[in-house]
Amino acid sequence: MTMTRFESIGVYLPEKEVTTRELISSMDTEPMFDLEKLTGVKSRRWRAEHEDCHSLALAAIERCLVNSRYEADEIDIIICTSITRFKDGLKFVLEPCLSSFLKKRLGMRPDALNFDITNACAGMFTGVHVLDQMIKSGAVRNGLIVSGECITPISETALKEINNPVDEQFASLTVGDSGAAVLMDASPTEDEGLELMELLTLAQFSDFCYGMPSDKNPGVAMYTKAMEIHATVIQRLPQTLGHFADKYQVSGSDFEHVIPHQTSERAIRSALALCSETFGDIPNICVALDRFGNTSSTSHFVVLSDYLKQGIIEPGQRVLMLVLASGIVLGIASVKIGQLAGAH
Amino acid sequence: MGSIIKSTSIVTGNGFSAITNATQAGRDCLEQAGLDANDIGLLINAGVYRDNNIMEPSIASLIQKELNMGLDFRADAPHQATFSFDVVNGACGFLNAVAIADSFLRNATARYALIVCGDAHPSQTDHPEFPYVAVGAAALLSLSEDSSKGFQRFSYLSNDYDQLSHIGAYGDLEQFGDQGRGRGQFYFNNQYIEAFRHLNVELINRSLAEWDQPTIDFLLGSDLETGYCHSICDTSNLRRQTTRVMELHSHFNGDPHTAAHIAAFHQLQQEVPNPAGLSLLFSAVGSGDASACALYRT
Repeated sequence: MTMTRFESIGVYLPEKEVTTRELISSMDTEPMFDLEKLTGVKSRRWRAEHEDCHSLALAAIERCLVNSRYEADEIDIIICTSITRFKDGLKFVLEPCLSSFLKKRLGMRPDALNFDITNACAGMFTGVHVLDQMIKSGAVRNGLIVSGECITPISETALKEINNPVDEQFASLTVGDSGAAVLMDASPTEDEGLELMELLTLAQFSDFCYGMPSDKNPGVAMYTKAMEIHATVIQRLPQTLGHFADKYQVSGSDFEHVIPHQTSERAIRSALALCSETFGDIPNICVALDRFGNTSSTSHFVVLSDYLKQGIIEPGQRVLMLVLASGIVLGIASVKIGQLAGAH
Repeated sequence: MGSIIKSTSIVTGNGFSAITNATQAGRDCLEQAGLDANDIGLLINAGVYRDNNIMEPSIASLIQKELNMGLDFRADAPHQATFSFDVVNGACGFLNAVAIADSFLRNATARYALIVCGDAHPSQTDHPEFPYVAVGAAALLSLSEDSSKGFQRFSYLSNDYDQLSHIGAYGDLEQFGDQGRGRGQFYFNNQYIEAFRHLNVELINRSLAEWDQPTIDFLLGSDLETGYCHSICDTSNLRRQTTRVMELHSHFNGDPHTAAHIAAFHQLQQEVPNPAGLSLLFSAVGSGDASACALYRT
């Protein structure tokens, strides 16, 4: 077997929409900058009162399984990869892990594997990387990667606590809730699959962004050194992409689309423009920040699903996934899109 | 080819930071193996409890930084890069991490993998409610040319769908107020040891049958209370063998949780100076409920 593939995907977005304007107008300290203009986030989805990481993940899996040829009892492993771990309100669960609850709820086989992976916004692609390796080694035949990312509690904390026009919690106002799931198996043909994947952790910068409980209020907060992260990534992305281009003999023109991690539209476009020399230009940059904001670990799948539905990404096309996360994790995946049923 | 444990390290009495303890264990483990931190392609942290209840970044990336490992992208040495993340699955986390690392090594995606484990109360204090002993552990894995050595088989089993986990750990942030970074809540059903023993034995029996009844020289297992591993040998099909156990609970005066399996392997190496040709059964059991096993040949 040469490749694994995305056999099916499922994305769930809560119904409620909250605009950036609504958020900003409820603050005592307005940012020094126009947050909407700077990031491109006009609106994001917001969890309903009864929703949490577990329910968002479950809703995404249910959609994924409707699109899949596999039944729950045919799946060999489930990996849950969200940053947030809320179940039953603002209760974070460490034991059992979230995948354990999901495995039982889905009625998967008792001997199917499950574990959670935590790797900030690189969570789902870390899961994809791990599952790709485990399928290739023969450890499992197929598996489900899921993330129910109930991340707007950091926005709620930011709204209470921001008191400085350049506060480290401003990035917390760009996030949105979502659930995403992908089922992977061995690709039956050369026409679809995960053609290459590599992730690196540049740990010198691991303290640039922290998510943890607030020390001022009940709830969770995220503290981001946005300028430092931007500068670090801008400096390293051209070189890193150039390295991947040499190593894997690929360049921008081999792809129809790039799905970058969804942080800020301006930052994404300026960073990719700088990679023109080392990697070449990729025809289409996929961004859905305006409607969904930064959905953290699910961002690539939220955008993939949305672009497939719109018919902008089509089966047979090659998509470059650009992974960027706290850690700092930098990486790429090249995905040749197959007939992802139901995503259309 | 199988993944072998090249070196192990255990850190005790070093305070109550999971990150500090795992870092120290990782450093000792690399030194023992005679490797540079930049030789490590894959770093996995399998500890469950997180200093300050940090949710992001991965605890592994913070440990990676402390180990001076793969700090930055180097165009002149692109192969000296590390990828790191956390695996969370209670006491089964270490064996899950080994199964992941085994795939990376077999596929030649990484040459060396370092797995670090260990738990401490999020407050980083000797908290009376914390049910585990603060032990840091690290194991360095690489691929053996000899396919009869190293990790051979893995197995896994959860309890029934309609049964809840017999233990739990969580944090209610509403209830914690502004103290969320330093608190945790722990739940133990009073039947948990019996329930865990039952699941643990069921998986061991299934695994022995599926693996053609291998002779097991040592059981390296989760040791939930003094005598627990002995009771597993006595109640499972290991009773027909002369399997010996590593008594961790009495050694550490408590349960070292995710560090248990590395600690047991470390102890074995100290007690059996030349352990060539042995068959070891790693066995984990914990929240979920879930149990994991792995067959290892020295």
